[in-house]
Amino acid sequence: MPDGLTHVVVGYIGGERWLQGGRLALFLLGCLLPDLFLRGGNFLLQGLARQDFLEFYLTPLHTPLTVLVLCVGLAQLFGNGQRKAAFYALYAGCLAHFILDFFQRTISGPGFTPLVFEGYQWLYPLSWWDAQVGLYWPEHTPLALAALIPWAGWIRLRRQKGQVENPDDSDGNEGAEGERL
Amino acid sequence: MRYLHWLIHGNSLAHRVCVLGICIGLVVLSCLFHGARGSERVQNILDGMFEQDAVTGMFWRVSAVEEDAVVVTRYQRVLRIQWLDGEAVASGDRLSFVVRRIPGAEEWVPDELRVHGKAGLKYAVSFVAVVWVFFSCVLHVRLDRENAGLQFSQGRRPCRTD
Repeated sequence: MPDGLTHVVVGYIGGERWLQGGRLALFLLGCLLPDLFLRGGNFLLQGLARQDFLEFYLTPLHTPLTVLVLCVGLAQLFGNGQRKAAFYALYAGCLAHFILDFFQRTISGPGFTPLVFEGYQWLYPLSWWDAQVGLYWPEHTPLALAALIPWAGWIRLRRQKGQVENPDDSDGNEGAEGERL
Repeated sequence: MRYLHWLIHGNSLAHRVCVLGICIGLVVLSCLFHGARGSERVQNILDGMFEQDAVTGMFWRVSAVEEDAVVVTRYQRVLRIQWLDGEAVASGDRLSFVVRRIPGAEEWVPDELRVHGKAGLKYAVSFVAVVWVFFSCVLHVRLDRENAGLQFSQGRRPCRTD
């Protein structure tokens, strides 16, 4: 899977146009959530004798349906009036994460993966089915950051410039876009 | 039905704690089921692959590099793969492969190989992302005692008197 920074930078490039302030922060957190639980857990399991098998207990934390339940739970931490928006922002980020993972390539090549125990299992717990598009290898994504980070920086600069030139308009957009979710 | 309606539409702190508990319970159940079932499945699938003398593996760890072979391990299995093309590989690297075994031979012959390198770089790059998101959340999300929950900033709304 792509590294965390690639997920966050791509999320920023895609989400910055639609989301502002706290919603954007939660969206970016969502972009990181599946890996935060799965990879973070794997990191903690390092060195244990049965690490490869124990990782199976963490795999559902990187599947869309389990993450949906997780986001519903996390949204309960937010006060009344913002819970729904928090859930949408978090889960939208998670979906952006899964879309990026879906385009990754593995040794099995594009299409259906016969190695169901090592794939993403997109429909778990309903099915062990797995599929991928296969555009890039996981080790390629840190290289892509060389282009993605300047792109995100350019978007940020363009927004700041727009706010300086027309502060009323940009504030208005913020308010309007803030209500989209 | 009344309880279900309260669960979906309730706004009280008790409701939120209840929903949070249910969500955590469901996630834990999901993880336990996958852990138990997944271990069993991987053993069966690997047994089948070894019986057929053809194994496909993703992200196995290189545990030793020999003169003309590499030794990879995962799921408590060890494979010794022939290494002919001289591609750079080091101990600790992650390797994906499609290999087959010629009957009687000790080494596995690769049909396809991919060296992914060490996972350390990805962890390091991901750490930067975690720091970025952490600070982003600290800037925009705060605890609201009145609502007994977190609140996030929504950006400044335009004021008619501005």
